[in-house]
Amino acid sequence: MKMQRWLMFLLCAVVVGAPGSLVVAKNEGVLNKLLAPGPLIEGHADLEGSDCLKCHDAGKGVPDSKCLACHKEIRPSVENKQGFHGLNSKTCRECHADHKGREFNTVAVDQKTFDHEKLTGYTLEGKHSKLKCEECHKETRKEKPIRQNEIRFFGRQSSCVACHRKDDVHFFKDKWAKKDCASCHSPASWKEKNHFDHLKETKYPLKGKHLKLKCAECHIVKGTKTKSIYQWPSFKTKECLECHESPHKGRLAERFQGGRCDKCHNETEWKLPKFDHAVTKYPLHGKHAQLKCEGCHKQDAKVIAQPDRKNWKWLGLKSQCLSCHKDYHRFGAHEMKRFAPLNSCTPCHTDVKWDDIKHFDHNMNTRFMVDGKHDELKCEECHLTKDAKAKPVVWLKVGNYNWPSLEKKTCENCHKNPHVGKFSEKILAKKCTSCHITRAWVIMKNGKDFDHSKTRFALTGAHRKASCAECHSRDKKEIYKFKNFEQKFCIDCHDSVHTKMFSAKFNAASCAECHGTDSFAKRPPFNHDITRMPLKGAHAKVDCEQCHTPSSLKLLVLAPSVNKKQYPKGKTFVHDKFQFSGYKQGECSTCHSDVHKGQVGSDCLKCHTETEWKLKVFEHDKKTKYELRDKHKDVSCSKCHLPVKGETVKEFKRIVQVIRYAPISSECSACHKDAHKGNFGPSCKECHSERGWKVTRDFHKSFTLTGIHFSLDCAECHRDGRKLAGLSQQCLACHQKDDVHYGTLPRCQDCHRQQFWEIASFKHSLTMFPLRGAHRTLDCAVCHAGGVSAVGAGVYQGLSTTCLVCHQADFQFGHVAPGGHGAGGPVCTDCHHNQFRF
Amino acid sequence: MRIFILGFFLLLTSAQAFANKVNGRIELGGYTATERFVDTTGGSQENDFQLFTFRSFLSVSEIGDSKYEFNSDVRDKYDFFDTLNKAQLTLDPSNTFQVQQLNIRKPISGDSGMGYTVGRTAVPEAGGAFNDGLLVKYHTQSYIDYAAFGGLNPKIPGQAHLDFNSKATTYGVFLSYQPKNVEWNKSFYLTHALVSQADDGHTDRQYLFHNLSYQWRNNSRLITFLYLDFIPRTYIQEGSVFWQQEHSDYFYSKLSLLGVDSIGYVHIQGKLDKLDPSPYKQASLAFDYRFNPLVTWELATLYGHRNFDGLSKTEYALSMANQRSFGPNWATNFTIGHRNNFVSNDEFGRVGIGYYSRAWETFANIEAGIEKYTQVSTTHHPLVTELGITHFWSKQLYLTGSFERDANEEVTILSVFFKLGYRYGNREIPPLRDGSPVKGSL
Repeated sequence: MKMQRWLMFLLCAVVVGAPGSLVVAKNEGVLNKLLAPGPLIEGHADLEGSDCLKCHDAGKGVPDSKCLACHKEIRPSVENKQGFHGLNSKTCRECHADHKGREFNTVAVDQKTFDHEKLTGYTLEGKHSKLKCEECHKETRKEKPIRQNEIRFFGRQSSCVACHRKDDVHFFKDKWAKKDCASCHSPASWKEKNHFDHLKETKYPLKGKHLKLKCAECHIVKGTKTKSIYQWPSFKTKECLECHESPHKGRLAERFQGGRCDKCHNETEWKLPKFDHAVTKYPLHGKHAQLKCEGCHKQDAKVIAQPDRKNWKWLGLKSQCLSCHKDYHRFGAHEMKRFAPLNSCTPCHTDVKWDDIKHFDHNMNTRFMVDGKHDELKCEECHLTKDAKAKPVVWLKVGNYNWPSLEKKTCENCHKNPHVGKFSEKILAKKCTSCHITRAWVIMKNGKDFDHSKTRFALTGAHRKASCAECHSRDKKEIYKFKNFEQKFCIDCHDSVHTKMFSAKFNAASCAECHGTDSFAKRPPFNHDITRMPLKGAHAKVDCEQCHTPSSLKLLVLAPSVNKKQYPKGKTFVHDKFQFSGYKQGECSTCHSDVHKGQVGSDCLKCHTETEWKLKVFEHDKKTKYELRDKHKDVSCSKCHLPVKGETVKEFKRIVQVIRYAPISSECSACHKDAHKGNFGPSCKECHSERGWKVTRDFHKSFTLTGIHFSLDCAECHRDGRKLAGLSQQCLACHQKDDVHYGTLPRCQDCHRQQFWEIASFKHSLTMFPLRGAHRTLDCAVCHAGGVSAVGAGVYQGLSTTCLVCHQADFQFGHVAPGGHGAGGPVCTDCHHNQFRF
Repeated sequence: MRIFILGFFLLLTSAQAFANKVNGRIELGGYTATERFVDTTGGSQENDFQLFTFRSFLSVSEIGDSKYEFNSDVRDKYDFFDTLNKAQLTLDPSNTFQVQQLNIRKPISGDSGMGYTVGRTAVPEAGGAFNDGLLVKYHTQSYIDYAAFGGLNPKIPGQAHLDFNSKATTYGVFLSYQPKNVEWNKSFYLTHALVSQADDGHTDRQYLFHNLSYQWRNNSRLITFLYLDFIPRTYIQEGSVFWQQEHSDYFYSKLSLLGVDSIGYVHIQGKLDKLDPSPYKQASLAFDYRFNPLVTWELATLYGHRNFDGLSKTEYALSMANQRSFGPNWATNFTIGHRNNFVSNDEFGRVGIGYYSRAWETFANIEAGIEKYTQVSTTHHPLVTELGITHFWSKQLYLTGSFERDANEEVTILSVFFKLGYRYGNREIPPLRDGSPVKGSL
């Protein structure tokens, strides 16, 4: 066992101590050679035989750090975890084994299975995927000591420029230089630039033909092949002119110059197949659209001969008509306030047809409304001077468009007033249009046309149908002045048939107060309020004829003057009665019969109303001296107001029974039968009230019947119908027979009550002489009515309490007191008991 | 006699069977009072009173073709305590039965004619006269009644109640005038009577009676009474004038003049005693002012003087009555005043309130006073409290009762009374209470 331990120690010592021995023997290549596992690759050949620790850590293998210490070009890739070495998680030694001989290829790559995307992070797409390795990795190991013709993969950058720098035709600067090719180019095809959004990247969209251009066509300076241009600093001002050259050279208007070719041209088609003149802000319509360009844009004859119009001159024309057309109206000579645009032709003329002046609205655009006959006129018929009118051919040259007096004398500017001298100054001061219309001179505004309401006499009803001449022509003379304004002019044409029928007031009034203009016979509702009797209530519903009955008076009638043929002279008519002689006696009786036959006076309206002749509510209290109270309020009128036998009155077509209203006595007996047969007088109200026949009202109010009086029969006091009115508190008026005091105690109620007459409420014990003992057995009269003494009979109140006042007789009858004392002797009570015994 | 009267009464009661109109009533009443004095007299401090009363009135009219009429009014008053018989000087059981009326009457039919009454009847046209006998009256179309009566006299001086006095006679004539069919607020009644009363063949009293009642407007009236006695001497036994004058709808005055003397004689123990004159004269004047028909104020003064002892009486009082105090059924009143009541100077005040409806009447009164007796230098403070209630079950049946407490320094009195009344018959019943004011004016 000990032997084995020694062997193991030796072995370990060899293993462990050997390197040390070797190091110690650095210069001792033999040892290293003896210990090395095999020869290093050719690239590391210089390390062989040297210090192993250059690559190895003692006992820890070969760390990557020591590899990278020499292979410094790999370190950035590893540290940045980019590229083949950066993305690989293996240690260097795991791929790059060594000590396998000088020929060993420690960087061998299986190109067939190499996953370029996974192992390098660079995906081979498009054409890259079809390339062979060496087409990109063109660098060889020429600097290496071995396999110098093989591809050196390391060092190739993933950027496009790394391979395609020679293909860069852009020579970008600034930010563009920093851009990767892939931002524009695609690996699928170098020429494909789908990735480049020209609008997004440059803010300049490629449209139309620009879209079809190769980049170089714009970005390569003409005349060169490689000189590119990507910045156009003056593009904002020169625009198209940055690339294109303008052929117009100042022959365009200013707003079309400066590269603003897009005003006319577009990127799809440079040539203009049809010029949209609207871009000039003067669109061509109508006749203008039919014109050739040179029709307006006058060119030199030489220029016109050139087919290419780019050399034409397009300057000089203004949009105003007068730029091309002459001002025939010479409006420019006037200052048109209301219609200022007259200085331009377009408000009137159109470019469709010069003569068609539809755009001009004479009514809107001038102070003078053109309608009616004026509509049919040609302009020149009004707008010509006299001289010009004689030569209509030249009217255009001398138009007259301004009438300073148009506000006042509209028509007279052209027309002559035929009414001068016939119309009043007031009417003449009016415009012709007050009467005439433009539709026809002879057609007035009367009814159909003339607004007669502007005069003091508005035409209504039949007047509308009348011709003007019917009123305004008298004896073949026109008359327009009428004087009877107050009568509303009626009598200026019509004769009144009512002269003898009406009062002066209504004769002075206008016929129109009653008659309407529709028809003399059909009268409109007459405002009866203007008469002495305004119609109210039922009167408002009554036909006029019911009151204004035809009278027997026959009058010669002068009918309306214009209708004399229909009403020849001498014809008589029966006319209604309009004046009523009964007015002063009250209007009602004029028409109505007094069905009351004078019982209640002549003032019917005291009770009746015009609204309702039959009385719904009659204020009996106010209108008569007899107030209806309580039950009388519920009694129908006919219960009291009975028909008068044989008395009737004819009221219109009716026969009315006369009812008795007055005189009716206010006494109850007028209607009620006296059950008492007159014993209690004629006035039932003394006892009865209107609340009910059996109900008293003020009965016995001055003498309240209580107690025994309540149960008495009336006849017990009012015997034989005796009236006891006013006796009231005087008890003796009835109770004389019961007065046992013979009048000495006049106020019975001081001691007696109605409830209990027989027992006086008087309490003798409250006096100074209480009744006790024997005294309480006595009747009042014994002491107070001379029962015991002839002196002081009838004395009740304040009767002396002295014994002898009553007992004088006892004293006199010999009841002499011991000691013989009599009157003036000792007091009785000295010996006698004052109450119980004497 | 009483049995006869009762039998007669029952017999005639059956007259209802063939009479057209009957009017009757029965009333039962009771009264009890206890007086407790401060001092003891005769070993007692108390005085008690108990009374029971009975009344029956019956009037049967239109009996037979001649329209006879029967009237009876009988009363009984039973005092539970004896009463002194002054004539006999004995204590008799006090049961007073009296007949106020018991007669058959032949009324006057039509505007004129003759009628008569047989039996006991009062003759108000001759003052306080009663007659047990015959009364004949002739009525003319001019509203004048000529009448004569004669018979026994049931009412003689000194006799407290009506009685059958076989020795006392009376006769007289009267003439009265009362026009009818005048306006309801006007009336005129005038009567004059000459009456002679004798007792045991001796004419005790002859007098002329005069009564005038004249009302010319609603609250303006004149009432006069006169008893002019000729026997035993010629003097005015009683004369009075009451004149009420309405000055406006709100103000009127009342003047009353009274002169009264004692009746001239009195029977004592069957002996006629002539009495000395004892005249008393009184005048009163009152002014009533109505603020409205329901509220009346009255200022009244009174002066009276008697010759007997030369004492006089004066009184001043202010009263108010409001017939609608708290509602349609409530009435209140009060009175305050001063009185020189012959022997005392009194201050007094009274307050009352009442409720009056168709079925109920209640009232409460309180009266207080100060009575200073000048002769004995004593002052009393009477306080009277009264509470009454009446219930009308119908117009036929009612019950009334009251409680009263009277007290002063000497005595306290508690009294209670009740009365039950029943009315029967088919005669016209006055429509009282049916909407009438609960109380009249003062």
